Amino acid sequence: MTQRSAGRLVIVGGGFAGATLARYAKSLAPDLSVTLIEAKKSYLACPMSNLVIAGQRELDEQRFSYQPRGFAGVNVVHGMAQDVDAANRTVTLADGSRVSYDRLVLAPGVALKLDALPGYSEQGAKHMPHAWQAGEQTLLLRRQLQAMPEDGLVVISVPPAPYRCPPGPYERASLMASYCQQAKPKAQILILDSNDRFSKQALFQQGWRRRYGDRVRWQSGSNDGRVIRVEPKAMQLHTDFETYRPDVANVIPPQQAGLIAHRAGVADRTGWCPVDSVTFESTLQPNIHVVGDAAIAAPMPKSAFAANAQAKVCAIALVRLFRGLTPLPTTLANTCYSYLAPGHAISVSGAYHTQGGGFTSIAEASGTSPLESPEGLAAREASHAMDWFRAITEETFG
Amino acid sequence: MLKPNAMVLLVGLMASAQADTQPDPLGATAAMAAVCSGCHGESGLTVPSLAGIDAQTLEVQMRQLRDSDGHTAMHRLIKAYDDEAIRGIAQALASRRIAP
Repeated sequence: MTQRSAGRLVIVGGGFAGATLARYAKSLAPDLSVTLIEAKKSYLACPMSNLVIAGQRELDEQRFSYQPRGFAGVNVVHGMAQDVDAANRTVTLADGSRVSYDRLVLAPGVALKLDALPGYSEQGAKHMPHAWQAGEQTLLLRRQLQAMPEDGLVVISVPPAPYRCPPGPYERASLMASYCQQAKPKAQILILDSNDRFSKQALFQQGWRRRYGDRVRWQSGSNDGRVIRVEPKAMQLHTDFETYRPDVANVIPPQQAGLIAHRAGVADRTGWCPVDSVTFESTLQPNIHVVGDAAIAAPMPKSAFAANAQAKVCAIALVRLFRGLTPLPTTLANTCYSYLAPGHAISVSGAYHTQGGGFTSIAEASGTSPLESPEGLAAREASHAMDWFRAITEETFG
Repeated sequence: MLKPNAMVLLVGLMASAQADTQPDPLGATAAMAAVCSGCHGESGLTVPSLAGIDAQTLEVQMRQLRDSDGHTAMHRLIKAYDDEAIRGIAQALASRRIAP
């Protein structure tokens, strides 16, 4: 069989993993046929969206589109991938058309399990927004925060890990507290957590005490923090022993890999996708690779930074595979920045070896900002965070 | 068939030519270096751009960073790389064409 290109690479999902991979693979191997399937015409980034909720940033600054100039040589198809035929190597779109591949990358991100928490639903999200996908939900939560009484109660419900963006709920609490300090002086923020610990916990809790006094409280899963049922219209949340009636309820639902991953047969019983750490190829289906939030890459967190890093490393592995070269293990890294307040941030970073099929944390390179922070560090880290956002979005979307 | 001395000379020339060629954009160090651009873009205010800096300077800066006492994410991350990895990453970064 003759091929005009050196091979057909198809990518489903145009987020931090998928769009990065498409651009990177094409620039490494211009002779490769690269198709990016993405349902939406533009992308709304979640990182920094907590600043939008706190009124510090506008949603438009989160929007990125798939300009031809940024995706030169990539065949961008705006359609919804509905199914994957792994045996025949085709992706079927919602309009019935089929795209053939030699190797497929699924980067669908997360699917919110809106019906998993009893009482919650898509309808429920209109009263108790999740705002865990940027867009209308972000603006809804912001409006609700702005409209609540001066002594209002905000509850944030955190699902059991793993979920996208481990420090996200706690950054959200921080920025909401910062907003309330100015605009809702007697307001309280209560985090009801299904987990018993969280990313950068000591730093967040110290930051809350120092900046916000008792305004932010956290209840662990073992201490009746797990929300078991909600009544969105009545604005009530239930744990085993308590009922809460907040003015604002941010319910972050449990999550799993995006739907297409399940249809393709690359998701396991956990709802996430096991992969080889060197190639990101699925361990369940050949010729299908999974990168970003949908992949099981623990201890790498589900973050935009990790998605973009995995995408580039996977792109190199894919080009090597297309060229008949053995893919090589490498060192991956991640850094997550979280705001304690506008202009002040903390970070957690990690590095990971990928020999032997798994991801091994490199202890010397992992850690968080120090608890006793030198003067000016938090402000510098906030600047680093913005520089990161600019760099990663430029690399992802051109 | 070349005489043995000529063979040694030829192999020696080839070896030094290898050292001058561009690092493999699909190689192990290229993969390590690929991670850097997530933070290090070209228009950072406090995160420095890595573009247009020669390999030797990058290597020295990375080693100095690793040996210094600092509290940023980069001070922690740099500890993942030994001298050989730092050299390879510096070469990969210095040789990189800017993506479209």
